[in-house]
Amino acid sequence: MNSSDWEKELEKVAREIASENFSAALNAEDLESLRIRFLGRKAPLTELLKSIKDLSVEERRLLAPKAQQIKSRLESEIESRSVEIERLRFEADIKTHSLDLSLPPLFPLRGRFHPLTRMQNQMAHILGLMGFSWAEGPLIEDDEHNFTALNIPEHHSARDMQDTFYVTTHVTPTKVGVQNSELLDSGFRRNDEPEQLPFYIEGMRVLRTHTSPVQIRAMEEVMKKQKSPSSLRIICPGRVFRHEAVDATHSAVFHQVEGLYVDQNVTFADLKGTLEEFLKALFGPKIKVRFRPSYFPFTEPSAEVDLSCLFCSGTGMGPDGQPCGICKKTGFIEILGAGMVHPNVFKAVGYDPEIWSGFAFGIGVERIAMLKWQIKDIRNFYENDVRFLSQFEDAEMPLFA
Amino acid sequence: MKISLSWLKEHLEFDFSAEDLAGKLEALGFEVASIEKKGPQFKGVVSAQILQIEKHPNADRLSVCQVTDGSENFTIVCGAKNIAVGQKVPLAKVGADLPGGMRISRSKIRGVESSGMICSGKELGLGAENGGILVLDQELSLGKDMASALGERTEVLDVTVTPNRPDCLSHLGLARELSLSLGIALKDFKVPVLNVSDLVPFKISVESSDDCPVYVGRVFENLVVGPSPSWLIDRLASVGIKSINNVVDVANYILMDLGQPLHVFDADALEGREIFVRRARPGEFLTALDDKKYELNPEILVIADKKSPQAIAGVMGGLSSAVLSKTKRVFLESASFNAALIRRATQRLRLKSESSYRFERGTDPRLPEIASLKAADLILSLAGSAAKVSAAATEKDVKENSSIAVSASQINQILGAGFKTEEIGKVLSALVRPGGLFEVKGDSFFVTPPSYRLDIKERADLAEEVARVLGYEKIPVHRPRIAAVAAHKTARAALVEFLSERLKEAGFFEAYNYDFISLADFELSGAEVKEGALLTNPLSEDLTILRPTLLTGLLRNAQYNFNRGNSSFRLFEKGTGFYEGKENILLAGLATGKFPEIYWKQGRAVENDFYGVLGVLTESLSSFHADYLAVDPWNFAGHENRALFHPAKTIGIKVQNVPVGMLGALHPQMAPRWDILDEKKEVFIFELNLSLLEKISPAPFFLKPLSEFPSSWRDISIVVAEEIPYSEIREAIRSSNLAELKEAGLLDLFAGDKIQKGSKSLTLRLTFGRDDRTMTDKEVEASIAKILESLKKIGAVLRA
Repeated sequence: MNSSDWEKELEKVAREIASENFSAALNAEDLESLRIRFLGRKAPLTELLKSIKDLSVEERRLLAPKAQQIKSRLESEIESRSVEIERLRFEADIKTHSLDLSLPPLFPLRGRFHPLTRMQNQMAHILGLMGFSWAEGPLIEDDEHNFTALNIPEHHSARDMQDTFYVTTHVTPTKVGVQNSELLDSGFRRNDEPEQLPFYIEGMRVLRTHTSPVQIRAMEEVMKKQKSPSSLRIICPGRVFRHEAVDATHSAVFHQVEGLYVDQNVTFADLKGTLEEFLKALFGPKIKVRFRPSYFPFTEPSAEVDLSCLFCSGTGMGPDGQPCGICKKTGFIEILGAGMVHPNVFKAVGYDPEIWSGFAFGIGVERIAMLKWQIKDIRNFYENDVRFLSQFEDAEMPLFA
Repeated sequence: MKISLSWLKEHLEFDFSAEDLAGKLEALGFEVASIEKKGPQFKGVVSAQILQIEKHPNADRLSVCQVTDGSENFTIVCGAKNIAVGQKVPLAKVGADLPGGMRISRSKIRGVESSGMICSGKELGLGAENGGILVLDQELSLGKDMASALGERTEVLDVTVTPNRPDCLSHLGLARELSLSLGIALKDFKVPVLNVSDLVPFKISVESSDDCPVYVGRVFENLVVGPSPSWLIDRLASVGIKSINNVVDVANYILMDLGQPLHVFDADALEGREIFVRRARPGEFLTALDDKKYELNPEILVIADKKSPQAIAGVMGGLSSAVLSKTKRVFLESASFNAALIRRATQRLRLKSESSYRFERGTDPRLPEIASLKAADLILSLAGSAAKVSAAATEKDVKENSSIAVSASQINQILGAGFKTEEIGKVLSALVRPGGLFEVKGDSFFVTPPSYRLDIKERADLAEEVARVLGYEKIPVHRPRIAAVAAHKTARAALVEFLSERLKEAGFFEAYNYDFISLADFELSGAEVKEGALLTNPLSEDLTILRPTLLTGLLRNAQYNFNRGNSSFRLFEKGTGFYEGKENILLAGLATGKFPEIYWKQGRAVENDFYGVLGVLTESLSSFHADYLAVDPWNFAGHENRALFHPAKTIGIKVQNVPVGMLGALHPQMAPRWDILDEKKEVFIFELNLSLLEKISPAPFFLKPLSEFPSSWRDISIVVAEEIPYSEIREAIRSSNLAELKEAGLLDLFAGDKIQKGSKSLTLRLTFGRDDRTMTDKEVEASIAKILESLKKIGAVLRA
């Protein structure tokens, strides 16, 4: 073949290539057959390039770049089509393998703390940040710790404030029938006596009626360990017991968080400051705190602490213009009891009340939890219905912030 | 305690509303539980008579009545049907206020002017609608104010008086309290001058002045005992006391008015003319006013005649000497008793009364004489013109309150306040009025509390009084500066929290149960408890036992949930187990059903099974390196509740050789006894004794270095006799003592057709590696050969 024929042949190939619609190749196979047609061993272009050696050096110098240019343009055209085909294939593939994103998710198996634990932990956490350490004591208490050392003497009517469960310890309950009738015979209580008058049985141990005995135990421990008084900042979250009929607002078992702060020169103003700080951390900075006189045998002066109502923001009126049902129109709700440690309590543990002073407070965990989560019946806490327990989320945004 | 507003006004002049009064009382520390309106709640209504009735010219259903109140005639338009000429009716005149805020004004009704309204019972707030106007008694005179004819209008506050303030258990007491805080003087307290006859009073013999510091007795003769006047009946009714007769009512009136409990005896029922205040003798009995017979003993103080007890001192009188309508002669007792003694009597006898309620809290030792005078004066005025009263016979030995020295700075020191010396002095000087002493010497105040303030003993008490009167809100809010001491939890609380957290992460919901369980549940638990605890006064007969295990509660919770259609759950509880004479901190759990309960994707729901729960415990206790032993699981922590556990699906948990817990399936024969009736329902339970666990220090944790060299793994399948437990296979592999063996995991386990009968096949994934270099295939093969060699000892062979 002479150079002009060769060149004509090249132009023919070029035209053929130019007239080809590469976009018509819809998949890799189509593209491959195009590639073989234009670039395969038997393809005219391949043939032409092979026969270029028959031309003169000058002719080659002139024509070879032309041929190479056609070839590389073709290659890049095939390559870009190949990329495009792969993209289309991927897109089609994605479509066929998609998920129904609206199907229900699979939740991880995760438990919940009891709402009372959650509430107790919140309180303990805040008080912990304020430097209060944990302390603990037994559920079965002796008369001394539960009453006498807390300035609730025997045969004092202050004992009526707390209906008490009495406990017989060190018995073998398999013989419970016998044991109980023995007790009854000895005159403690007869089956045919329906009324539950508060009564006192000498030497008998009690289920603690409050967490306050832990105050006594904590100070006793200081005296035992150090032989002399020192300052204290403790809390005791725990279970307490009252001998009262169970209904929607009363439970014979409930929980308190007790606090005790003892140092020199502690004042009622410090009590107000500490509790206000605590309650603001628990319920949000907007709340108002009110202190009212009250009576607890183990504190003097004593106070009942009220919080501006969380539901009507202290206005006494609900959003519907009706009197607020939670605070009964008063704008305040009773939240805890507190006071300055009574000098007799200090004397009972060997702290000199002329030197040492302090304050104590006790919060009902159930009450706060019921207020915060609008739980209407205290018995819900002790039924352990999983439909109830499962509602208390751990990652709860602060409600009253 | 019920306080009537109009009654209170006899002691204190004030004009604020019941709501305002409640607010003031609450600011002083007395909570007000309720405010109740008593008596007629209307004004300006008089008795009138209908003179003439004509039909309304413009309305068929209305009438035009001519009505007179005795002095004036009125034209009234009325819609009632039951009106008749001559009837006496309540007429609300123009300007009258009716209940519900309605005020009567002159108005034209269909063209006829009506100057008032004839009222129905309902319109006056005196009862339900009965179809017409209220027709009054024909005997009633005209023009009478209906409100006062129908009794006193007042509001009654239910005030909670704390046990430290017995002096406020009366109208006088609360008036005194309000006077202190409001700075309004008490009305003059009139002590009557009594017209005493020549009657000889009974002799009073008090055995011990400790038991009875004050006793005042008076004798009455020629009394006419009968119904009380309506004002007295109304007064007592307003504070919830039923009228009995004029003499008893006077005693109750003085009680509610002054706070001094009184007792009246029928003097003719008393033997002799001497009253003995003494301890009861063994074997003495008294039938009290409640018609119950009480056995007395020397711990109980009685009021006796020369023969026998006639009253339980301070608590209740005897039935035989009750004052009845036939009574002519009365002995009136006004006394002060030892509070603790009265309280003990109420407890021993299980008997309480309004009197004992006050005596056991403490009464004013100076009050009996005044109260006796006032009561005598009232009895004389009510019980007949011939009535005579003796002078008082009095026995007393009263200890005076001692004075408390305090300075303004000491009070401010307790309160953290900056009250001025004059402010404090003003409160303290008002506090002692009437009856106490107040002196200023230099910087100090000397305060002798009045006899009724039994609660004021020391400086802290005075600080409270100052704060109460000046207002708690006046004390500044101060954040104390605290020492930089890090707060910490107790080890026990930290352990409980740690394990609770682990269980929560594993899907357990926390349960709270009561600490007392029934005898039935206790017996069902099969627990054999040494030195347990019982409630002496349980709430109900079946909740007597302080639980030795938390599992009974969790099983009851499972039953409760099954009954409500909740079938899959994991529960745990932390709590106290009472046994071995101590309180043991326990952690128990229960798991049943599958998770998720329902799910659309095949194979994603996982059954709660033994291995799942064991996994949770193993993970939770990993730092303790616990052992889980299929053998001898029963000796757990002193309480053997084996009856609950499946005999062949239970494991014991030991930490450093101390048994700390058990885990297993609920015993299949036990399930129905806990009302778990679905036989296919598997329930897994566990209990750990944290009191034992807290004594064991977990192993310290250090990071294991990560190998830089890749490890290799091989799967091997072995066949072994079916009865060989996995623990033996694991032990055989361990005994080959290969440092290169990093892990042996069980990949598959099966028995059946493909395997020789009596054998099982296990596939294990063995992972090898060295920390210094990559192992060669040859080395791995050699290791496997060594392991197979060890496995041969228990008859395990490579599966063909």
